[in-house]
Amino acid sequence: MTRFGEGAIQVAPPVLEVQLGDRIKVLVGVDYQGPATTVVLNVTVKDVHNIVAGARELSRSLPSTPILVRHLFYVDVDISSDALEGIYGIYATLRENLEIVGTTEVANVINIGPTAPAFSNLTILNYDKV
Amino acid sequence: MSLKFFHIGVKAGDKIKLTAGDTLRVMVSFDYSGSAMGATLIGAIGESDIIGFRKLLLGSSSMSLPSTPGTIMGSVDIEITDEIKAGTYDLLCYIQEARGIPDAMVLGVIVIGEMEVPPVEEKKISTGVLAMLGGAVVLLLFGLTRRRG
Repeated sequence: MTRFGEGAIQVAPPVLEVQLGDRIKVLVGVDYQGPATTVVLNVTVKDVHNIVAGARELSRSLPSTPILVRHLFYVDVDISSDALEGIYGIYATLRENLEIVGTTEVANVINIGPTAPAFSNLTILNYDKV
Repeated sequence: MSLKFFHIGVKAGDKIKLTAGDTLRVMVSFDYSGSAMGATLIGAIGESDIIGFRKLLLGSSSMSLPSTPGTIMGSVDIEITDEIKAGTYDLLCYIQEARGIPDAMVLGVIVIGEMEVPPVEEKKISTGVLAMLGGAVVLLLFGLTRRRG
């Protein structure tokens, strides 16, 4: 019998402060019991309206096991530079043979704050009488 | 496909001659990354020395900076007034919100000339007045001559 346990996402600290362009590392736990298989993990950062980061897919092989075993996977997620500032959650889905076999989420744990402005290479190009 | 002509103007480093009443437009570029925000580009004509830059004429323009990192083009107009004397000056640009980056400056490129006042109109008026006076004198003499006769 194939069995996936409850998914788990660990977040530390409770609300992670990030800026546009940052990369976050998400640790996802998958409990599995059954024959060897391959699963695809998808992690996104989003709110109810927008996905602001993620859709990164990670393919992993799970060995055959007669008992429920927890597997931990790290997934890197880039916060895109055009994301809107705000509070978002992390959502993960697990697929086996294109079928969703597990989902988990933690809402309101990623705070995308304003990015410190950075200026460089200020140059006068030309000038003219108008 | 579309073709566009861009007005290049005087490239940085070349001199430009201006007088009171002119407006100087300065084009700048800079790289920006960060959140979308407003910024103010300042342009100044003045004199630089070991103490710093003494601004004599100023201009400013507002810009909207996007959240997508990239190169930004901007321009600022500086009006030339009679508050500045004839001479050669430096041109300075900076972004008010930018911290820790050098200002952009080109030395000795702004040449302020004296305003030329053409005296042509005054000459015409004086010529006309003289002609009228001359005519009046002729008429007066003619009148006197006829009275005597």
